[in-house]
Amino acid sequence: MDFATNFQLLVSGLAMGSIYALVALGFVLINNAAGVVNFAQGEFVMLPAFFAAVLLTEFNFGFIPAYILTLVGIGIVGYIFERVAYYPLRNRTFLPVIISTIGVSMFLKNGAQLVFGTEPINPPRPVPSAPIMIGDVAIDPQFVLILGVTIVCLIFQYIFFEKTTLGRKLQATAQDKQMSRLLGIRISVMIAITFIYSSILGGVAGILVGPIFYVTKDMGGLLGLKGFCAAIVGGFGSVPGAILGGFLLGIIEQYAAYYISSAYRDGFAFIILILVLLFWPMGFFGEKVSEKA
Amino acid sequence: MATTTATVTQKKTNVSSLTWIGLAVALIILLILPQLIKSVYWIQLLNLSMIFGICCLGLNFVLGYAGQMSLGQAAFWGIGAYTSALLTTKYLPMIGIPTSVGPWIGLVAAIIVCAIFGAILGYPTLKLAGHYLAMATIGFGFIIQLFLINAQSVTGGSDGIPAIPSFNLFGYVFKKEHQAYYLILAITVLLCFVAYRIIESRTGRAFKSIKENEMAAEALGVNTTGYKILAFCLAGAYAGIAGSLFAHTGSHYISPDTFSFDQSVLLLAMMVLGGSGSIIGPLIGALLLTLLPEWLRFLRDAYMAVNAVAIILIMIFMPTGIAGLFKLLWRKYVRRPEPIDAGVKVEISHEARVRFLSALEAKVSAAGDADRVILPWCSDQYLKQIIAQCLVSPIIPHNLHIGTTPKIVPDHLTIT
Repeated sequence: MDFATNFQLLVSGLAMGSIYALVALGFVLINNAAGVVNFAQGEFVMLPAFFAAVLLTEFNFGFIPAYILTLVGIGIVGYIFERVAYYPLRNRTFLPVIISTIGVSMFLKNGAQLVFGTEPINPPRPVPSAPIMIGDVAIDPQFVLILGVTIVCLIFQYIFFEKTTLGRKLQATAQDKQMSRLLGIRISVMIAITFIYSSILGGVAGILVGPIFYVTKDMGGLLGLKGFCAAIVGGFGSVPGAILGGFLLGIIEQYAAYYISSAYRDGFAFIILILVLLFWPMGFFGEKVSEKA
Repeated sequence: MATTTATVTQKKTNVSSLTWIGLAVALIILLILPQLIKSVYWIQLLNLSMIFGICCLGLNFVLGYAGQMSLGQAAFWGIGAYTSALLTTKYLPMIGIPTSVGPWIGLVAAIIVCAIFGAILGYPTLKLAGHYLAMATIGFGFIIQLFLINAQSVTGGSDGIPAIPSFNLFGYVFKKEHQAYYLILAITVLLCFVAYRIIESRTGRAFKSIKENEMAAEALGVNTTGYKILAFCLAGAYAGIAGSLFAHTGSHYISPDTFSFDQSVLLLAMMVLGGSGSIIGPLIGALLLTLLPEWLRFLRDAYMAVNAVAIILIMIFMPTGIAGLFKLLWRKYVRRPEPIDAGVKVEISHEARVRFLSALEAKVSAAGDADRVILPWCSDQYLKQIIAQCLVSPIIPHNLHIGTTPKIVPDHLTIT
């Protein structure tokens, strides 16, 4: 119960929470724009983690070019995904779309295994691996990097959505498609941009989380599901909710794994999720459209 | 609650003699099949596909008929398998019950335990729908699998349970694959019949009404809460039977990694491929997706990826699955059905109308200052008439404006 342990748990919780928040944002943005839950979101973390790892280890790229190339690559994959798995099904109910995105998830997972092999890859870190010591507290520099990059991303997103014309068009599309269409916004383009943007958010998460975990084809599944949990805990459909939910889930998970049981680490997110759904289905910033109830 | 509020004159569904002949031929083929196939491996695959088929039949109650999302069916399957296996290998011998009757007790226990878990999982459906429910069921599946792996003292952990005894009927042991085949076939046929009877009963109609339009169903006096839980119980019970069969046949060994989220997804894919909302459909889907990996074996590692592409293509081009496609062709070329609303007259009582409208009002006020409320518009002719009658009533909330936007949301009614 000492201070150092608790502080370290807090930092690692915030770092994992950042990853969940980025994934959760991807879910929420796509849901708001297209009314679809993308069950392949986790694969949009796994795939860029592989891209970055392979570019860094096999092709000896520098960190910056490798990361930029990865983000561009995952953006393109996101666009193809939108055309193949969402667009043909856009006027149907949620079930075909859910299954289709799950199909994409299976495809990407097994495709990644075919292309990148079954051996887990441990990509090099862009920051030194020796922990930063502040008194007794040892902090992994990668955690600090994750937190920093996530905060920069969130600030960028705020400016992008609130201050640019494109961002406002995206928001308008999410709020009212019919009205936006009447105002001359091309809805299908906006939805495609949202998919690309969400994929890039996943890409950032994948690049950041790669050096912490080993990069395997299965790393995305749980991250995606936990990101989705975070989005629901925060109140599905709400952008601040997704961020807050992500951080909260990350912190609770670290503490619960340390103090309660590390074997059930992956279960806590779902226990919290089910409790929230049962007793507080609106989450922090719940959606108002009563489709959920 | 169940006052007769609508009287619908409907022709009694009669299965044509052609269907009976088809089913009889199919059954005969299934009976002589093991005599033709000597390969133990292929019979094992057939057994497995029937077990998956039973799981899908269960899932069908929840998803195909009651219209509730579930991605946790493999967890029920696992609970069933573990209940049955643990009882027969560990707990029943302790109290002196021999392994010859153990599996049967295990089977019954699996049904009961899974039905109880079904009710536990069904409870959240009172509040949740759509992807929220999908997520809750995924969470349920993960927690169950984590428990199976980590609760070493109870479940044996990730090593699994080996040497599970076979079913034994008055001294006849269903040990070999060919013997187990007939047992599994008999149970599958029985369960199909049970499913058919349920679907054609009051319960089945209640399920369908929940899927079509929950609010209208409630207004008609359907206890939607109870029926949703019942659907999950049935799904659980079917998966429990499948789990018990899985544990006591085949390799006689179970381990937690079989009952994963991926397996739930696969079961869902089987059901959708075969055609949800039909009885034979899910069985065909289960058979195809169990055999598909064998046919795609030449692709080696790529087969899962090809499998996934197939699922996406099916969703895009064949939304009603194989059964739906068959039904479509049947109606087009063999027998055209009479128009559905010919001679159907729906009468609705005043109290039902009031109940429907208050439910509608509650939904609108629950939406608060949201821009709009979306009512799932029902496709069923009778329900459409009922709703139409409700909405022309003078007690409709005056600030409710109803309009349809057919081009943008074809099957939704938008209330602005």
